[in-house]
Amino acid sequence: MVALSLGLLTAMFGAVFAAVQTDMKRLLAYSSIENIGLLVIALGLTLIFTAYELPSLAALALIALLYHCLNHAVFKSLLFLGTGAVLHSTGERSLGKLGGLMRFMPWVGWVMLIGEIASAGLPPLNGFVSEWLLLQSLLTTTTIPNPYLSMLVPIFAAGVVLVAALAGYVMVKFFAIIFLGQPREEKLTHARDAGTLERLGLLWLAAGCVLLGLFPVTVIEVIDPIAVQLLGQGLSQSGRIGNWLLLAPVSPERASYSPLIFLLVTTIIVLLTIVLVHRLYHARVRRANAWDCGYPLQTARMQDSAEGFGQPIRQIFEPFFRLTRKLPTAFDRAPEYQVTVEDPLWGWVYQRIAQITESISRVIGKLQQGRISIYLLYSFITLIALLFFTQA
Amino acid sequence: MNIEGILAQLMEMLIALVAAPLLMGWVNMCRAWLQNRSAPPLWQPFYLLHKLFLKDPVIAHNASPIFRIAPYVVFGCMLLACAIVPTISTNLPLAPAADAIALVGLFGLARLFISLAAMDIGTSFGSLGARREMLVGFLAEPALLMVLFTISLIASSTSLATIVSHLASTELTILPSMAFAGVAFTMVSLAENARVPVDNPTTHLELTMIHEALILEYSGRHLALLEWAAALKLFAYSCAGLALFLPWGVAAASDYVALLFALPVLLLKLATGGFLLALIETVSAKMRIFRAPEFLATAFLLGVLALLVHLLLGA
Repeated sequence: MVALSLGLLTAMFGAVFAAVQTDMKRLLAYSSIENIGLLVIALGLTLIFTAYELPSLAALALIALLYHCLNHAVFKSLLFLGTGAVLHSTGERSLGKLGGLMRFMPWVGWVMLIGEIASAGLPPLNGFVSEWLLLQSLLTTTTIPNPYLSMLVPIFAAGVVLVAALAGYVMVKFFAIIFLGQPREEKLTHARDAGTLERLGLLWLAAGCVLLGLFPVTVIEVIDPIAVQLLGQGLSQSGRIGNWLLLAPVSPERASYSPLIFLLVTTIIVLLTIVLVHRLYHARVRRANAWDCGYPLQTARMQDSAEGFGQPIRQIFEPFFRLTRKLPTAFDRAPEYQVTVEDPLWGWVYQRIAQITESISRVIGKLQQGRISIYLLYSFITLIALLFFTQA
Repeated sequence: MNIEGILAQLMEMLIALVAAPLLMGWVNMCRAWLQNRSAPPLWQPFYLLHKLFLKDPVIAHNASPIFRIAPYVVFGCMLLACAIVPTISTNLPLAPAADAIALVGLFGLARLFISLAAMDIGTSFGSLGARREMLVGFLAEPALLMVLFTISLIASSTSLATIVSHLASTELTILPSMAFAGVAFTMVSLAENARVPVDNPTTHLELTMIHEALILEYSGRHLALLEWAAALKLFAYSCAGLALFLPWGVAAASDYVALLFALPVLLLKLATGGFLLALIETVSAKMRIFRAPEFLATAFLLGVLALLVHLLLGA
């Protein structure tokens, strides 16, 4: 229970703060906090199920946990490597100074798109599989004999869903600000795409995202022995994870998900539509300037910035942030707009710890007087004390 | 998987493709009547689609390939969603591929692509629309899932086909949890389909747009596909609502007579639903964008309430 609450709080915290970040690495770091929160929720569920001696459900939660660990390792490495590539070729990590890189770094862009969909927890990639497993195991909690728990746990499912939806918001912001739109700085137009080795490094992780997403049953069969070792029961023992095509952790009537069919059908529909539309009508395209709504002056700086995209989140979750705002009035000669968003935990936890550490070290620092007679006194007192102890 | 199943599946997709614009047209017609205007014909959306398909799409110079594939992806997602929701039959070969949670994921994928495409050109209105769409989306998604969770706990399954056949086979009792869930679902559908009171589908003022701002840059066949996809989304939501809250009349596995009977029942239910939607849109006004979180939070709380009512009362 404690693990569940802690996990949910962590996940919410990570997701909300990731939504207002303006530095791409910090954004990813907060998104990692969110994912670790989800992992803790899965851990809490495993513990609850084990406590109530429901090993098969515990195995489901544990598999969700392990699967999400694996997924997070893959897609977060991909995203961090991608930001590394962007940083390398532009020298910029502030979201407010990037933009439009899809045209100059298409390789990194497409690979990052995969990582982004995976990390937003959307089908048919890997992030969705573990989220789906987690939600399924949250929904089975009504079988717990304790009525309070079985009532509270589906509420946690609601929290998890909110976190997952926020993750989607964050990822749209992250990808769209870096890769889409117009370049916000002149130098970005000279950005070079990733080199061959960089591409390889990005590609195998992207392939990992796709494969982990498309063949969940095979992956679960690989990680199932861990569950067997820890809980004495896995998922595949009861033969319930379905065949290689269809993931059905409890039973096919209860819930099933097949990413491969999902992807295939969508692709077929998309291709058919393209062919039909082009055949029946035409395939002409005209290029023109973007529509300016009648305002002739459009610059890259008029696009939504990272701060702007996070603004609704700031507005809704205002009590969670430490905001310092400086807003211009209509009569200002030199209007100035400044918003600083700070993490309250930074003040409450880390700075407190730093203060306590400093005050302790100040006290201890008094020991150090720099005179040899005092140090000799210390060793003399220690000696006396030790002798006293051995005597007693 | 059998031949009847595949036939039912194909028929369902075809019906969705045809009926979705008709539903759009019907809602517009009803709204025009309610507002004392003379109504456009029922098949007006088809004229619009045909016109748009004939026109050349105009694309901005700096558009990336994402901008050009997004309409197709969105259209594909919506058609798949229509294929998964059991509208006339529960014997669907595609249904096991995605359950209720995956259906929500499917809508999420479409939303992600359309938002990315809107931000692709880099105009202020596109990103404004993307931001607002994602805002509405991330608030509506949990509410929608709470509704689906409640129902899946009642039917002890998250697979839509199983839910519908379970609900249809039980006798007619009004469950209090279903009442809460129904209200929550209606609110979410209004928000997700960009209808009044959250968004106004007929607006011409860019500052108040959500959905229209997203597709501001689109023209020609891309716009036609997006309009069609929006109609399909409305159709999928209506059908999901009908299937979950009024599941009677959906044909069980390979029953031809019931299948023949299911179509008129569906059309009747949709016509009533469309009229109610037009009524809601006529009597309410669009709210400010920052009232939308309150609206959706209400839907979310109703969903949670439905879940608690189900767990407490077992009803």
